[in-house]
Amino acid sequence: MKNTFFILTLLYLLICSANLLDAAGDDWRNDFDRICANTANAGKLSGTELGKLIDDSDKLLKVIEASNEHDKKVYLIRLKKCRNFLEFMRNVSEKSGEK
Amino acid sequence: MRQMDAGKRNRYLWPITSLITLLILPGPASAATFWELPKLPKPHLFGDILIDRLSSENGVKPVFFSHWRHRTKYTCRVCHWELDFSFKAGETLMTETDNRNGLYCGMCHDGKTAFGHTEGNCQRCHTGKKVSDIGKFKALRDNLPKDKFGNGINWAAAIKTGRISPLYSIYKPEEKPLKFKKRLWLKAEWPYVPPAYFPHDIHVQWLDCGSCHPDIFKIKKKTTKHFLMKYILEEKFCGVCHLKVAFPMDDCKRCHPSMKAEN
Repeated sequence: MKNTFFILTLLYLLICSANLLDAAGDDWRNDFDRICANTANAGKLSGTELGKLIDDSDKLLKVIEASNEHDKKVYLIRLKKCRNFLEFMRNVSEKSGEK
Repeated sequence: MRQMDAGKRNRYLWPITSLITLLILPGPASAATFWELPKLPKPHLFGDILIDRLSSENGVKPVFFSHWRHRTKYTCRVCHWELDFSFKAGETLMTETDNRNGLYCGMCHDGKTAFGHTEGNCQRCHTGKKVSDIGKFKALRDNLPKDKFGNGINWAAAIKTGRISPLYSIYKPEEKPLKFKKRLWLKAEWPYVPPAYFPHDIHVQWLDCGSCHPDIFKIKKKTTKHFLMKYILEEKFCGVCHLKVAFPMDDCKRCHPSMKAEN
């Protein structure tokens, strides 16, 4: 009886941790989508908004780097491209503000 | 006597000056021949590439990829942005395992969307040579707007007229190209060459803003010094695409529309 209870508890914990890992995986994908979706309207964003997205990208890069998912290298490159574009747009907006 | 000398001088001066000018300055009509443009392959082979990052090293034939076979269904953005293929062949850090795990080619070549990355199909990609099917190519080209160079297909017109509707995003099929119409006129390197024209709207049909900025075009100020033809011919800037895949540089008037050249 004790053994059955122990095994069931163990199984429950395993399922919970798997769900947590899945949720964490989805989290960074959601953040990735949110950041990269902004490249399409980057021209309408303020320098502060672009700066916030760049900071978010830098934080997310570390999260993705730490993950063990097989497709992380593809997402890392794409996120770097999105980040660099946002930074480029921030520079463009700063330059045009100087004129 | 002095007046006669001056008259004679003037009479011979202008033809000599004109001749010297013609000899020294290559006119716009000779622009295409002046530059050492890469030799164009046959239309059905234009845009075909061989990818050999690890294949030969591992005893298999390099991978053949045909751009025209794919671009009727997918925009450049899908592969060169979403799937992370570099614009330079062989630069993408792609492995066999990645493909089998659904990355890169494996995203579509899964046995459902396109033929799978499975044992029986190795030879379909690992051909080791450019083997575009001329019959299939002609059947495609006959139904699309024509062009003078490259594939002989005006791809921009094909998408504009709705003859082809390549997918803009493989992850979000409902996603549409950005509406960004800014058109640029770029001063040419030589004063007698008319400016080059760059329409963002045609390019965003195929690409993402981040495909070009800032990696290919990191422009901070209005300047022409970046876009010298010699750089473009080194596969930089416009030359990343407009040498081997998008319409080639032989077509002077496509970028310099006011040019009177017959090329």
